[in-house]
Amino acid sequence: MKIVIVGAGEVGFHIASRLALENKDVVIIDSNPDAIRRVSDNIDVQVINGSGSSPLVLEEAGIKNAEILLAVTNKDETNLVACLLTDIISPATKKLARIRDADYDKYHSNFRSSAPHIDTIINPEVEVVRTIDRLMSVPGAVDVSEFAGGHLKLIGIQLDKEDTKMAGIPFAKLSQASGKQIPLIAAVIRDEELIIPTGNDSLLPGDTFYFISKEENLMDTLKTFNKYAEPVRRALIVGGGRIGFRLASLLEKKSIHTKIIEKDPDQCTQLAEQLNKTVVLCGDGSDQGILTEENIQDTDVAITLTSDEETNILASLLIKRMGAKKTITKISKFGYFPLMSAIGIEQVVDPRLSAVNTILQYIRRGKVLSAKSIKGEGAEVVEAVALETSDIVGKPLKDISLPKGVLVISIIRENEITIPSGESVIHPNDRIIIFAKRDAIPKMEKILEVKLEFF
Amino acid sequence: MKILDVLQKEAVLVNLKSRDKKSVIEELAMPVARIANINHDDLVRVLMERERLGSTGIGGGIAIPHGKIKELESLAMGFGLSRKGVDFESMDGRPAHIFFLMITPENSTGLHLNLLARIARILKNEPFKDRLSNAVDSDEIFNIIREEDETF
Repeated sequence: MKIVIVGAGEVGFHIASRLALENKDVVIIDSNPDAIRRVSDNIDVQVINGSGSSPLVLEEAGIKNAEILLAVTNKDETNLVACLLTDIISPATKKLARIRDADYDKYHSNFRSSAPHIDTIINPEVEVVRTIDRLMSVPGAVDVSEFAGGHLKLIGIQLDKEDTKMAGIPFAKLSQASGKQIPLIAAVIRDEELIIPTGNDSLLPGDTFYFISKEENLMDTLKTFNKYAEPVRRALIVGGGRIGFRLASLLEKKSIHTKIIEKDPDQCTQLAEQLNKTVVLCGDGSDQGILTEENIQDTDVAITLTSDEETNILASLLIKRMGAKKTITKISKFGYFPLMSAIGIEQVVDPRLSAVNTILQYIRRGKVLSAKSIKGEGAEVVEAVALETSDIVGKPLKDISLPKGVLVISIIRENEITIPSGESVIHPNDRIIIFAKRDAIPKMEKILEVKLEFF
Repeated sequence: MKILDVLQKEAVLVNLKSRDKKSVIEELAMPVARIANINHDDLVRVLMERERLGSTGIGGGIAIPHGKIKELESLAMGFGLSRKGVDFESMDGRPAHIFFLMITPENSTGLHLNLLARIARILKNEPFKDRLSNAVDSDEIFNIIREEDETF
């Protein structure tokens, strides 16, 4: 599969390095020689130093043979032009573009239905705001993703260090011991290592673990693990850029009392004009004085969203220390992730990772509806349609030799959601949710593939 | 159904130039789109979409790209030979040399499945495959397929 990537920034670089590992044929274009050097020094893909909005460069990159174009430069205009040219030079190539400016929001559907015929528009900022919203609504969650149109949630929570009640009990006996139906625990992350547990394994204090839950049972399950819902009334946003603005508008709609701290006076003026109820404060979000003045200890949640991740990390630590109940931190350097839980930052959002997730969906084989990387990318969760003639349908799960590290965690038939057992049979056109460790991903794709006779 | 009932001589390409999956599908689809009177880009999109669900490269140097098209009136076929071979993400990882392209209307009954099964079966016959691979023009391809059609 050939993929042309325009833009060697964080998203382009990261996608390219992942695809190179999976033996995909990748060409990456960027006009910045430094960005290109970083790619060629680190990953084994073809690089072209030039503008992705030039038809000659696109042709040189072999756009005619490409199955997918990813236009992910930091300029919306360049991405749009790259798609437009691809639409002319190679109409059957799938086009995915990152478009961030809110001015374009209303025109997304036009970009799909008429030229440049973009198949998918990725707006990481909108995704991140959605992720923040989900993290705010699920108490104690370090990771929340939705499947089956929101009816199913995959939740990652950390077992409190003091929680000895649930620790040490084998999973097979958890429900019995707690007197409640405990959902299927798909993965445990312990000391940065991802484990797919069996019934004999158990949780240790400090473990992060992932489970799948129906929307209606979620709060009940969380209580068993000592996580209680606390309504959010007051929020503080540090950083009034594009994400900060989008988040503030959402929180206004939810009638959450919101303050936003932004350094740049011009930006503050603009925010104050565009927002109605939000209080806009001009200043430094990591300044103790301003935080004390604004009664930070009464804040239910603080979200740090400046463009500087070190500032975000330090501001979050400071704000937590000064008494805010919860912080959510925006980080984009993948290298920082392993550090976060060690220094006490639990809830992290990453616009680039959410862009990567959207893109993954298009690269996976089979009829994949959505895909999501799990912390540190040790695993992937995929929602897909089980197609006729594929290996996964027609037989009880126990008779299908599922590759090691692959777990079917839900079956959705019409509106019925079941957590499968060995006896469950997947029917053609059921939707399934599969959990796969990174090294098992090619095998997972294999079981979703259709046979020759599928039309 | 005989293969030559649906395969037309204009849709036989004995010297495919393309070396990659997408280009070879575009090349094969060119005459088929013309004969079936459908949009070439739409046809390529349908065929590529089907490939994403699982490669139709069945190994042994054979690929049978196929799909369903709404506006199509009746089943249509194409044939192609690539001397150098094309990476078609086949099950055995080897390049594909012989291509049968098949498209059928959306509401088609089992007919296309029978034809597909038959093509897959006759291509397991090594002497037949060798003769196809060494054919120099579309007339020769037609003669080889005609012999096979008569035994059907």
